[in-house]
Amino acid sequence: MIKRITSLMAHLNIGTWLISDTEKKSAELFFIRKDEDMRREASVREISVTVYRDFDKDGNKMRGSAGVLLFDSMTDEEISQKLTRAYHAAQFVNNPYFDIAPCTVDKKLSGGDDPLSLMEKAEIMADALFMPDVNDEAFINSAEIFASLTHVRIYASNGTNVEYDSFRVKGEFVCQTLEPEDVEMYHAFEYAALDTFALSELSLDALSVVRDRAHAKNAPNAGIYDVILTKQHVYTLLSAYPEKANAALVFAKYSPYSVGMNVQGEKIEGEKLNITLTPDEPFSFEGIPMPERTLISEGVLSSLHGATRFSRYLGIEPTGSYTNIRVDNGTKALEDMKKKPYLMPVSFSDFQMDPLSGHFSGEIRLAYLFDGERIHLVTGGSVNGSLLEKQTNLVFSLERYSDSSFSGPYAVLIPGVKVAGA
Amino acid sequence: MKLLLPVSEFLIKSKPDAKKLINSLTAIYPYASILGQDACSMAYQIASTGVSISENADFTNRGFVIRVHNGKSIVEYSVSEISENIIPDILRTIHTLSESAKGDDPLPTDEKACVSEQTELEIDPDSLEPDQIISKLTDLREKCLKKDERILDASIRFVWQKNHRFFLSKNRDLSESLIWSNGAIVSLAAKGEEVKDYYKSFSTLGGAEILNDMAKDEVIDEVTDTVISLLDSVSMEPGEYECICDPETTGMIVHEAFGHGVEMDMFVKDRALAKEYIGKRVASDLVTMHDGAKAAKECASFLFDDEGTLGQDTLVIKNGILISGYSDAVSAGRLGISPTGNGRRESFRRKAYTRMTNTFFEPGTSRFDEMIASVKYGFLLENPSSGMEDPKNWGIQCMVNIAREIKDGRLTGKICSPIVLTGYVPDLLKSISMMSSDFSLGGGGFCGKGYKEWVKVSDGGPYIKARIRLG
Repeated sequence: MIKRITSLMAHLNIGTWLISDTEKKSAELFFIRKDEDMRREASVREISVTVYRDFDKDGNKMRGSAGVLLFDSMTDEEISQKLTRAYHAAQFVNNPYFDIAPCTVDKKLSGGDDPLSLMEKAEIMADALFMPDVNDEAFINSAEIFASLTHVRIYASNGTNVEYDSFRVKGEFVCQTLEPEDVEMYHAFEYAALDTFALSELSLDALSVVRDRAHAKNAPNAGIYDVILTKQHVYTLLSAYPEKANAALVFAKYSPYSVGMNVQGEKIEGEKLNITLTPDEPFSFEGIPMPERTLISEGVLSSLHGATRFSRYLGIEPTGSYTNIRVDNGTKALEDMKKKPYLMPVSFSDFQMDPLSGHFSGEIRLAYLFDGERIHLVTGGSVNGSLLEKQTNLVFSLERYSDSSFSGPYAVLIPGVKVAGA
Repeated sequence: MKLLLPVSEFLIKSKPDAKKLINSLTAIYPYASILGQDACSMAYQIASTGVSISENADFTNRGFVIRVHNGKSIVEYSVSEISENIIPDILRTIHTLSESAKGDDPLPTDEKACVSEQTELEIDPDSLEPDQIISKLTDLREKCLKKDERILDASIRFVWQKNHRFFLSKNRDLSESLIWSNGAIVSLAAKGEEVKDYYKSFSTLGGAEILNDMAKDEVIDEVTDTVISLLDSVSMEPGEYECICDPETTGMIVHEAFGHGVEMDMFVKDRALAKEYIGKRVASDLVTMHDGAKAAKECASFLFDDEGTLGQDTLVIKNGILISGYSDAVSAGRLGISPTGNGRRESFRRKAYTRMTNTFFEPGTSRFDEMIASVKYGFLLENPSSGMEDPKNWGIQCMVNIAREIKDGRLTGKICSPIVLTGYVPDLLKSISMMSSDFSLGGGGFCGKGYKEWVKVSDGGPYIKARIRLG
């Protein structure tokens, strides 16, 4: 198929191009309680082709591009027609000229015959998920498990030839308890290995949390609270930093970030951020190798990151776009954070962080409220704050948490956050 | 003059092999079906980041999903192609899946049906030169930027999808070619490091004629004036207020707060509180709600769903009383009811779930101005951005961009932004005291099941007046 495409591009005089060929196999298990609801498999392939076209406009050198998706089942005539249209369209894409990503030739393959099929791997993870589900007080209502192996090949007209395998087990499950109230809570997971231990731990914790949720009846009173966010909510909050450091946002002036900038502000009274960008895959979609990179050191931006076009425009090295981060520990134990009154939401309906406005918010499904004397279980109301206002006063925990996209402090204490409640 | 969207040559050519596969499968299993999909798309965008023209990977798919009931369980296999030489491989995979399956499902119904449909459209986007589209978007962007120097950017997007499908079983031969088009204008303005944005979307079950709607002067005024006014917005003082929701916000409440709760695959899992409320009051007398591919002509209209059930118009709430949910075929089989044509897949690659289509409240009789005049102190809510379902506990989380203050029946000009709506769904719906005769439906968005399985939906309704907790 790749030879067919490159021959047709040569025939059409398309000289600069990028191909990403993705073959994905997956095994999928669906459960209602512990009973299998359905099993599925999928074996699909798609090839993304970007064609580039150089031209002059008003005396300026331009490089337009257009992208299409191709499939094995397409005839030469169909492929040729799509490529012709894309190449034609590219001449109207008035973007300033840039050099495509440097040539990379490399392979990161899983290697060897795997003795387990994807369905067997999905079944092993299902066993791990249900292992802690041993009593009727709190149980897993339903679950979905997807085990997939993706083989990616990236080719470019400058000789780039990159290949890698990507294994993932992803899924979601809903925990439920019937007494004293019938409530449920949603959880998602994603691992790059058959991490049965982590999934069982997650399941055990989720079953414990839903028991607490069933005892939470009232919303917290509206007011200002010291809020403690934990685990994946810490990542969601801090994800604003890698997003704002992306070359595309900086080029568009949506983000004021520049290397050397004190991104937390000048007067940091809380803890200074130390964030490292960590790769999700070994290569970017353009075939650029993606090692770890320091993003923020002691609150100062160390680097921008991004795809080739915007990186070239900004005059920085193209790195590929990162979303995963590792963040240094804080200085305070979680138990010390909890010595003063706090509100600690452990489950939101959907905790959101808007990197452009700096606004974070979420409706509380379960929070632990310490009033100085007792801990109350609360549900309802919402947390609303601005990271731009609060980032000088963040306190991070000594304890750590990690998942597939984040390794960092287990908790962050944000003083003085507005909470809508009863 | 209206055109008919041409059918997919690929699906026509694939059908004989698909029929051979159906014959092979039905010789072994009591039920077999194949959904074929050939979808292409194109997205055009212009912003300060430059111009892009690209086929959208989410909307471009070509492949098949084979479903089999082996007498006890349903299994599925999604593949990129069906041809005579790979039919033996497909049969082997189906056999392996069937042998290991542990599900317990009733046999799907398979009444005879043989129908086809093609969308009517005014302008086929493929008939336009790319520079015609780009120059329209560029012109629109420049007009937005010229309106006020505080406008940081205007991002203009036009995207369409042509989705061709067939569904084959022993007794069914259905086919459809449809096209939807969406447009969006996002205006941005900055105040220090904080960037505010305003989003306006456009949708049609049709083609590039939507570009004409986007280019109107009043649209440019709306997206630029509103984002500038957001620069002076303040945060909301948390509390419960009398609110008027615009049709878009009504649509989000219909969809997120209530609609997900009557998806009947949630009934099968005992995940929906609504299951206990059939025949009971869930909203005020003023509320009548519909969902269905045939309930309206918008982006989520279709002839048949992804399990081969013909689209319908389902009456969900009648004068405040919950009448019915909606369901996919597998859930309907388990519940012993007829499916409603709501079994939808993100693409042939994915499982079918119960999903919404066109979901809305019927209009009422009040005028918008008399609704505003009736508010002593409260807010007009506009420009919803996202929401999250909670079918078990009927909690609400909806985000809106704009809350315009109303005092003594008049808009004061003060804006709070952004806003989180929270509360308990029946409390909100029972508090609805006025509904406007104005009505609109928008199909610019997508709906996820949790955080995945994105499908095209439309939602909307009239302006509604209700008591809502804001934060």
